[in-house]
Amino acid sequence: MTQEKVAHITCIICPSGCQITVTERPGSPLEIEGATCKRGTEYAEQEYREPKRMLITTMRVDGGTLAVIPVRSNKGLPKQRIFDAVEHVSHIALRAPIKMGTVVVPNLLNLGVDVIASRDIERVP
Amino acid sequence: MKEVATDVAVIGGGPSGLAAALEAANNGVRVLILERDFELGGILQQCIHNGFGLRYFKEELTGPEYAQRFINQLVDTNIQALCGTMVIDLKPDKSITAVNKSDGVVMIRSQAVVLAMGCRERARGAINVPGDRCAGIFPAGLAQRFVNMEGYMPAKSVVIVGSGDIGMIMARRLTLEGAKVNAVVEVLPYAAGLIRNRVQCLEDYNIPLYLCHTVTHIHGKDRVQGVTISQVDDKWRPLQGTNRYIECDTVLFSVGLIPENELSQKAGVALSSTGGPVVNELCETSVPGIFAAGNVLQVHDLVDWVTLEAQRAGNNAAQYVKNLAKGATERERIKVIPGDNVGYVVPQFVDHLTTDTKIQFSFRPKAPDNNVQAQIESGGSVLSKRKHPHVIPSEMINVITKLDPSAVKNKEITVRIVPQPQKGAVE
Repeated sequence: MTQEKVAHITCIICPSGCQITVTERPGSPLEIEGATCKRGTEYAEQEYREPKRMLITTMRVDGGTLAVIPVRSNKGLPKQRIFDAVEHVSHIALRAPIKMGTVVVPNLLNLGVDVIASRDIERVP
Repeated sequence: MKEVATDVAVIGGGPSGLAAALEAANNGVRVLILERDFELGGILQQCIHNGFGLRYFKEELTGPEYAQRFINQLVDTNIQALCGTMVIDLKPDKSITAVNKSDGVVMIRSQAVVLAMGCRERARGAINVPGDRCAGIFPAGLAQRFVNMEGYMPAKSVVIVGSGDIGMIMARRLTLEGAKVNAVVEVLPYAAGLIRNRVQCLEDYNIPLYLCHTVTHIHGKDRVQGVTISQVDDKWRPLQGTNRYIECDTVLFSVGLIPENELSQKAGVALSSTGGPVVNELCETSVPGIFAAGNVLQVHDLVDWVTLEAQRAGNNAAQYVKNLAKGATERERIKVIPGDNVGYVVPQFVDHLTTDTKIQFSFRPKAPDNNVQAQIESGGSVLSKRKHPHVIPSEMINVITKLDPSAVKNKEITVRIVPQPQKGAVE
């Protein structure tokens, strides 16, 4: 018998929360069952092949009105790299003032993803 | 004593206050925002996760980005914002007493007021959890502010009570910051927050979710050392023999929010059973010229709807000021009644109904259901209906519709959620 891989995925596209089953058999296309719409099928395929998540964290700020600034990635990065990414940016301190949208870490961990500031932080007068 | 005069005073500079202020100012009246924090933006500033703005901006933003977009718009207006300023009194004549560090006491005379104070977290006391009164017990939103704004990490080993969105989002956030989240404990048989958060905040990090469970004891001398959790029956009573001890140094409570209406009450504003002011379709409270929007009116789950509601309040506050000379208009008082499977409806009254008025009704189902229709009904006939494949209490339903005034009977309309009628005979 050929080897079969099965994954169970809860769809997050809408509140219905369809339970989707993805089955992979060597030599045949992915079998996706349980989704009730096209977006759900696409989500399940992406989630099966390469799950991605946005990086959402804070970075330290020197001389600002707050001790930390919220930052995010400009697109999703591989889910299993999120911990490395949080750890990496936590060691970098930024200097106020900072404007929303500023790239604070370009090409994060060579993943082709930039980290950008989520807000303005003023300098303490 | 400093005295300030304005047309529209907005109490609170969060998403609702910002949207109301901008909309009022666009109508050419003078606007003053009073904000007790040192900066504008409100709770959005600590909600650093994404998922905001999909409806209003048609793109996915983080909370701080959503706030910043509105804050940036203030620059081109004559809106005055007093931050670090706490309103301590509001009178029915719309005079306001506030305090701040630089001016001391400030007296504000305004023609109209928008209440935009938001809500407060329910804490341990709200659900009466027995046990020791030790350090390490926080409302989840407070812990969120510590971590996301002030740069403090309040926990190493955590149990979270309540699976609302804030609870689940904090489970992920604390995990990413190096804490061990041992459990999220939920009294309901399903996760209270969005499915998206259950999957991406809990399942992604293998954080156990205990459904039909509650914390029955908090243990600790100086600092929390652990909690006892127990399974509950359908009346939320702990079941004998189901106790389980979980070690932790921190307990977070994410058990709901309460609209913050002490000031509203001082002004004589009538409150509804949900804790927010009773309003009409203009977001106007029982006190003419005092409007309410955002979480102070009803606890929202999406900020986009807060913005839209607050724009309505801000616009109507400006119209009120402009029409003051014309004298008061008659209120029609069409009562809006929550019907089948509807917990509450905002507004509670419709006062100015014409064939062209679009009215927004916001409501929540009492219980989850599938394949239903949200209906607006009066005197036995359905005036508006919309199909919903799935409804849950944590997702507010918004219906924006015109109503034919002649179809409204007995000055009453009912909003209800009923099974989707079957079309014709099913083969």
